[in-house]
Amino acid sequence: MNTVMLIYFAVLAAAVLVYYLVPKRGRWIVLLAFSLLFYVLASTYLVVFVLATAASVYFSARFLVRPAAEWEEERAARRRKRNNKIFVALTVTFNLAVLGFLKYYNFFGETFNSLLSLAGAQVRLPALRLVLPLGISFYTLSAVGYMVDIGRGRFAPERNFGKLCLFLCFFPLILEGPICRYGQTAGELCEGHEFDYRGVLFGVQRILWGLFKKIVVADRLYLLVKTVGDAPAQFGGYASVLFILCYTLQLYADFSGFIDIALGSGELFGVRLPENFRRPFFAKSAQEFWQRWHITLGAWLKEYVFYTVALNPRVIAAGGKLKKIRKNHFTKMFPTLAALLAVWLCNGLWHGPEWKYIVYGMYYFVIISAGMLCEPLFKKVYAKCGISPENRALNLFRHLRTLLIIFVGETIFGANTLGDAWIIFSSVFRPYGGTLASLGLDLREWIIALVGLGLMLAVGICQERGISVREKVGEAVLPVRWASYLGVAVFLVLFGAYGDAYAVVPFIYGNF
Amino acid sequence: MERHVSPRVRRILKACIFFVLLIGLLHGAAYLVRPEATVRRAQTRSQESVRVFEEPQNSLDVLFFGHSGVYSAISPMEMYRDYGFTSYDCSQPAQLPWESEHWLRALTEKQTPSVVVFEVDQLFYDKNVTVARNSAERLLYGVFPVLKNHWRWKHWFGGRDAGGRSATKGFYYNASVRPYKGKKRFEKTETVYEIGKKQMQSLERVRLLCEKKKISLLLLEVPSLVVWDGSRYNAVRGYAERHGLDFIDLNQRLEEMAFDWKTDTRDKGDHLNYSGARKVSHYLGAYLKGRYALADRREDPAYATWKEDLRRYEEILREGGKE
Repeated sequence: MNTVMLIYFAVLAAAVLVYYLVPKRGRWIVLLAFSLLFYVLASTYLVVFVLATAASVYFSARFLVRPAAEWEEERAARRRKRNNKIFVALTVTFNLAVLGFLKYYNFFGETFNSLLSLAGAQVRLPALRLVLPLGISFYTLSAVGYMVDIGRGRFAPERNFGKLCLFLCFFPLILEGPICRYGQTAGELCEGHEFDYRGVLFGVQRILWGLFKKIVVADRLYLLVKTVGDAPAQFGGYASVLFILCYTLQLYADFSGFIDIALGSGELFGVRLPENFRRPFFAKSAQEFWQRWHITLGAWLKEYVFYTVALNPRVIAAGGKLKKIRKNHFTKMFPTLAALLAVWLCNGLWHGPEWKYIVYGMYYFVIISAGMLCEPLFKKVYAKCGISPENRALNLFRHLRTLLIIFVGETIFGANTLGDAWIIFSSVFRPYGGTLASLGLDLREWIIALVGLGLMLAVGICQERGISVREKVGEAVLPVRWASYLGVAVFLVLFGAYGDAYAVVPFIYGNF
Repeated sequence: MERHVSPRVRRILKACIFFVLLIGLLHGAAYLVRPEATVRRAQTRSQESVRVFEEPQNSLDVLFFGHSGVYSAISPMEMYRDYGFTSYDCSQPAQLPWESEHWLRALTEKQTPSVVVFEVDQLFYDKNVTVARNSAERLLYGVFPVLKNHWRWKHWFGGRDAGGRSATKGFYYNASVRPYKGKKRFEKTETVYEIGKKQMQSLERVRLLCEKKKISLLLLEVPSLVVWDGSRYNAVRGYAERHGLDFIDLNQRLEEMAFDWKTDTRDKGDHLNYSGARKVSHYLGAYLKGRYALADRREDPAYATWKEDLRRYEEILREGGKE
């Protein structure tokens, strides 16, 4: 098992114990202390980056709120508003610049150097060995969101620096999110919660389920993903198809598993964190998929990128000009499309400094935009053919089409390079003579992986039908309840793909 | 008369019973996946490496001890094919000197090797996190052995572990290439790295054990420019000179091996791939054969299993690394 995960569970156990021993008023301090401890243990001196981010938004926000004096003229108040806007922009730029420099400098440097080479210039940007603080992509977005919300006057700035630090570096959130909004989470974190037996029980239950997804399913599928993904040219046919399927399922089990662990950890302290997944494979369109997959990133981009671009007066004016030239569905959609382009570019870039992520973002931009632009056409076709939009066959087609879109998209995302993604797609129809075991998983491993996936599917179907499995288990008679908890725990310990017989699997989203 | 028990006490009692049941079940499960006594004494963590205990008694000429660099860079089967002596990679990820020591003690109950090769990177695993993780794991594995041996559930359904011997002899086959592009080269320096006390004591015990059992001890550094430097080299050379031990730093013999960081590493210079392992095994095999006059077992009927395993090994190479 990953060292960071071991540290995480050790810190979690100690934090829960101390949290309920301390009086309610001081419980947020326990969370802050353990969050900083976790950060230092996992990322040592890089804790200064998260503290610097917290300090930048804390002091900026405090500066912004100075109330206008009664004697201040209207002009002065307007000036103050303008200055505030500049100040918010500067703070946001500072934080994004830190993230951008640490995460993207080498990528853009390399691209820039290639362009310089093409132009025949001798100048080169040097490659730097930069360290990336743990969770920087997650806490930077939370900090930027906080700053923008304060600038928009949504809520009063936090007066206590410690509480703002806790919001930014609460340890269950720092590894893979979810990305929290201040208004949603800060109150929950800072309020000292009573010990609630049911809440703690549900927290443990959710952590177990997250571990099951991660260790039994994701880390097992990783064996195949690594074998084929590292040398895709050596494989083809069914091996490539299995890579395409297994990578997507591994990514889902890994990411949603860790989110379950994070949310379950929050529940141990009585803190409810926002959901990040809602059975994404049940989506009927790419757009719906993104309303069910990494929900908090989508919500953040919608709030702070989509609306910022779509409601920008220049974009609206450009849309108006286009409408004057020709009034049609496209020109009407122009501000939305411009905003979507920005959203998907940011989405791609957020995942990492690689071209494959940019292509991944553009892939969804094209698909979602095309869907929106063609919507009137589809409606006409349905009406002409007399097909109800709720037709079962049509819905089945939509499901299958969306699954295909998802699998293709995640393969672009998961292949080592864009070239490798192309090799995987193009080799699907080339026969592969190797055995199933040569892909990294023997028959026994396959059986365990399929049992795990089957269980995930069954739970997903129940949840999709509105049945809360955790409530059902929680309400069952004691022998059934205990048998399920003990069964999952022993299954996890025996059949988990951890230890030296298996590979050490990095957090997929922990790297972003 | 009914005795009143408060809900809080009842909950605590229930939680205690639950955890007792859980611990009981985990220990029951541990019994079902329990390895044999010698293996337990060796305290190894790795599935592949444990299979060294399946080798016939007194059949191994050379034992290699070290971290993941060893099982990535040294292929005992390549050496057997080229030079005829038998060997095994007793290595696992982030192996520490005391783990090598335990393992060597357990193995020498069954084997009488002529040479023990001790990869020296393990002496520099002295960061608190590494040592703390290792100690925590040992503690956890001691209390819940099922966490270490759980992979043996495969025994229940037959398969490769029931068969025993490893065809790769602990070597990890990986043909992928991720070139090392850094500019760092080995540079000589006057500074001497101070090896941790615990690490040094462990090496000392290994040396004394080898001396007692009349086994030649060779200190080795496999190619790894990411972590290796001049001060570490000085520290190991100093120890080797003080005790009259052989020491080879392969980082300084790359040209002799025709080693190329662009083609011979699978992860940008930290571990070697199959191409790199072939070069290292060929070079090291020649050295071991010449220096320690190791016997050629290729035509020896007592070593027939090695011929059979070589066939399986070559099959694995053809299959791309999977048994």
